Amino acid sequence: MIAGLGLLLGVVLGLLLQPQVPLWMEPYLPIAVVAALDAVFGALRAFLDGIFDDKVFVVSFVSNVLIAALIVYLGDKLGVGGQLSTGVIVVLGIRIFSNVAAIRRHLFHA
Amino acid sequence: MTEQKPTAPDPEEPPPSGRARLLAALRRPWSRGQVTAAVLLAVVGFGSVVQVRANEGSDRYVGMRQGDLIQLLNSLSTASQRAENEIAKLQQTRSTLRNDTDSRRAALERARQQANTLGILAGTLPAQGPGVRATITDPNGKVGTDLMLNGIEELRDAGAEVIEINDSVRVIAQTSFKDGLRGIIVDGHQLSPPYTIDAIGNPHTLAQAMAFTGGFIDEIESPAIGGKVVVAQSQSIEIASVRQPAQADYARPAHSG
Amino acid sequence: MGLLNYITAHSLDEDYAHVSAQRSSGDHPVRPGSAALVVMLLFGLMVTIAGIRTAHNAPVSQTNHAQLVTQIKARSAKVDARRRQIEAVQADIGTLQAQYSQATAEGQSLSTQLSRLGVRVGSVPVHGPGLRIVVDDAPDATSSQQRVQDVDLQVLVNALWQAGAEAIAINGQRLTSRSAIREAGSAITVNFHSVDRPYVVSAIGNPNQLPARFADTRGGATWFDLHAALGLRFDMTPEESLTLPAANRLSLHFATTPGRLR
Repeated sequence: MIAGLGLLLGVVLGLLLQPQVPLWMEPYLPIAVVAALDAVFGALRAFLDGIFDDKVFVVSFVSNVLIAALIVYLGDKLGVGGQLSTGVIVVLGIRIFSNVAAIRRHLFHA
Repeated sequence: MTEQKPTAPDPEEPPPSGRARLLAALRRPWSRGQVTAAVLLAVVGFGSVVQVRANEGSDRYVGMRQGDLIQLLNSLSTASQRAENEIAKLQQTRSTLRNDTDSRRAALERARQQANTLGILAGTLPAQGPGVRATITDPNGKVGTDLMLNGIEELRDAGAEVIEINDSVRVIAQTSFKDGLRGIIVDGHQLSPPYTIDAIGNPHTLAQAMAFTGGFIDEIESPAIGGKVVVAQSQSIEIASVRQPAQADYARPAHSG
Repeated sequence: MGLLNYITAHSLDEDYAHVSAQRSSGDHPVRPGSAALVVMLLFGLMVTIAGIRTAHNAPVSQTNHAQLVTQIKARSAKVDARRRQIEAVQADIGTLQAQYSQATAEGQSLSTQLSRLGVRVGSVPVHGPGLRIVVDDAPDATSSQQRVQDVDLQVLVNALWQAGAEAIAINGQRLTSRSAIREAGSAITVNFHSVDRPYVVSAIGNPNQLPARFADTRGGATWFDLHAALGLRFDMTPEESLTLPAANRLSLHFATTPGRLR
């Protein structure tokens, strides 16, 4: 469906264009990806639960990425960058696990 | 995954305990659940062993991330630096201790040599060295304390370092002579002629000292005494008599000099 | 509830439930629209870029990794070597301390021994009670008989040793086993040192017994005669505290202990 198409298009664009990531952004890219993943899985679960909403998806995606990056940036400035990023990853990881579990229940009735 | 029981439980009976379930499972090894569990556990086991092996091997750094490696490197640097500081401190201590020990041992060696010298002089140690052996025959029994005393003084004057009489009495600072019935008494030891005096020193000088005109030999061999002295020079006079170490009761070391 | 429980329970944004509750019931679930498309595109882009970057950095990071591992191994070996060095130096220090203590202990016992020997030999100055005897030529002495000769002093000293003197000095010359009382010309020498009249003979010993025992000796009697018959000066005084100096010339050049090089 459309969402999957969008994903495919994004991947293709990324492979073709190969844009250079500015240096200041590079340390935040991995955590942004994880935050985005959390939003995506959350959306998928909501879709399977029957309560999906476009606007909420956009807001959750953008806010997740921005907040995660902001927290890590603040941590770097304060000198506890490593610890804060660990904490963010832990929380996002648990949420992803939980959402994936719910998705699995929907898909496999297991 | 729960195991299917072979028989339906009796509603009257209490639910089967975990142990009962385990025993029942062991009795039916080939159920689907068990096989599935077996396969998965085999995978877990295999993976664990591989990981443990990989961790123990020298390539334990393979799985580590850059940040961890850098941290490890830094901690090693710190440890190395601390160890170097420790080594420098210890080497300093060792060097000082070595100097102190060397000087103390040198002092100890000097003290040992001094103890040796004093022992010889005090008569507590046997001695040997070049010197003379004077044999005095006294057929008339006229050789007395005064002559003997004079002889000893002549030997000392000629540099005698150690003196022994009749191979039995060691002469020291406190030695005194007395006339007795059968001969001379030296420090309480009754001696009789012939007397032998062993003296360690320069053999030539000692022999000459006794032989000069009017000296020891002349006096002994004078008609009034009628004795005979034979002086033999030797490169190895052995003086074996010793004195017991004695404590002075009234003379005490004066420290302030 | 606990933190983990909370995170797990609230892993799905509540907004979804909230918005869906606000929507009128009866509507079928909203399908993802154009906004979702854009977001997924962005997501795909991000993931791809991140993936490419990692792949890009892989060779460099592998080299870095290898270099770091080499450095770590080298430094680790260095730390081990240092630790072994520390142990070696500590062992040295331990040995040296033992040697030091032993030398100190031995030194102390030797020191006591040297002191004791020195008193008898004459190598340490001593003090104690005893006798002070002053002898001199007879006043207006004309013949040698009336003068103090070396044999007279020898007899005097012999008598004092016999009476139990522990240390004797003549005019400050300590008598040792190597001391000679000789006459050279008209002067008397003790320890090769010429001594002047009057001759002060100091003897340390038992102050109660020394005078009487001295009087009992033949030498003592001789001197009483010399004094009485020939007029030689003889003054004997008990002293409570005499101080006798140490002797020089106590090194040995010919004598050694058997079986040992000096």
